[in-house]
Amino acid sequence: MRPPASPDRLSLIAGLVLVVLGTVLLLCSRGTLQMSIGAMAPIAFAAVGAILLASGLTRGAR
Amino acid sequence: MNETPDTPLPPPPDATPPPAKRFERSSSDRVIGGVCGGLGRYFRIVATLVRIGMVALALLGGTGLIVYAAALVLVPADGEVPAGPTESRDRALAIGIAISLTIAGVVFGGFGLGAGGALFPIAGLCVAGLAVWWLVSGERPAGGAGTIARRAALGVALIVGCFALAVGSFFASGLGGGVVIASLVIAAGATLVVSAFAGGARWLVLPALAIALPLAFVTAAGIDLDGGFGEKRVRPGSVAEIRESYRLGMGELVVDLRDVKLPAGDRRVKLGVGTGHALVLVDEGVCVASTATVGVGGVFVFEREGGGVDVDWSDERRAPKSTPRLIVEGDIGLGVLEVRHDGEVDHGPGRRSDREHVAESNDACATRTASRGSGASAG
Repeated sequence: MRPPASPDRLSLIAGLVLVVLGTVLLLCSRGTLQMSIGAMAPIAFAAVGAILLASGLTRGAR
Repeated sequence: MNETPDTPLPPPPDATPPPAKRFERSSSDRVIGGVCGGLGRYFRIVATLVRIGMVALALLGGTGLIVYAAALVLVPADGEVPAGPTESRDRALAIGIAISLTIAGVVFGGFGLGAGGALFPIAGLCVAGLAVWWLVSGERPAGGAGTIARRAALGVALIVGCFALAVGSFFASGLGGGVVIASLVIAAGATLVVSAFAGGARWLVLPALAIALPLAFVTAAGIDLDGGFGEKRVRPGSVAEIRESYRLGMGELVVDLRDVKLPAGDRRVKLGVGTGHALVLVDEGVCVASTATVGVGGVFVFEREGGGVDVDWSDERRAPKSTPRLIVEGDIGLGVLEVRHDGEVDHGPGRRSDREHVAESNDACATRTASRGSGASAG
């Protein structure tokens, strides 16, 4: 019996990161959440960093 | 019967001469495309020294970038299969494109090679395209010239496409489409999560980031592009003509109040600019108090100034009873709020240094009661 194929980790991590980032942006756009650049910049950089990290860790593992 | 002694035959002379010294990109000693490694091997010097030289050339006018880009396209990698008819055609095509770009750069740029000129952005874009393709696909720039040129072109297309998406997202977000853009980002993320179990859809990551990051910036900086684009100048002739608020989406907003004889007492004016420059010109007999929020940019009120990110400016002043006081309330997303007396309204915020000799002050005010501002320098 073949083991189930593992999910593509980059797509999974990037997708989750984008869902979280998109939700924060949606709340900000609707005025529910107020964020300055000082607060938003770390979130955006962390999102990009997480995706780059996932990309580096999964490179060639596809 | 004479027997000839069994003497061994001398070895036959080597029929194949040693291979000629060739300049090839190194596949074993490389950081990007193996150009510096190949140069080091060719000249028998340490490749790191070549890399340092190449970086220095890149910084000095961009020549290093041009040389590197040309070598990537024109120089074969070591161990590469001799070019067949198709690769020869590719190489000829690449050489043709490189020569055409060079001529176009020199002719239309009007610059010399030493200054980099128009070649610098072209070569920079090609190298950036290769780097992007490398990052996205994980494939190092190897193979024939045609393959490298195709990858660079794909990378450049990716850059251009993402740039277009980012610009579109910036304007859409600034014009009130933030909710739609954010929903698209969430949808892209959800699609990526679902697709991860069916092979993945990695190509979706870059476009999603390209629309998400400008939205994040626009939202955080409070950029509101409603109110039109371009240059807007208003010069009321009387107090009755002064509006309570003025707004511009992107560009330069000039509110010239020097023709108005303001009565004693307070007069409030709100200025909103999404991206650009808001300038208030007032008569020297008017005391100006100001408050402003600026996402990214600065505030210049006579001799006082402040700037940076998330600027929260306040310069509260009191005026003598007989003196009019103008209270300026600025809301700038990305740009500059400026208040001054002199009338050279064609000064942009970036050219403030041109007129720094003009000593202006808020002399009509009696006292300064309180002030704050990120990076503000009190005069």
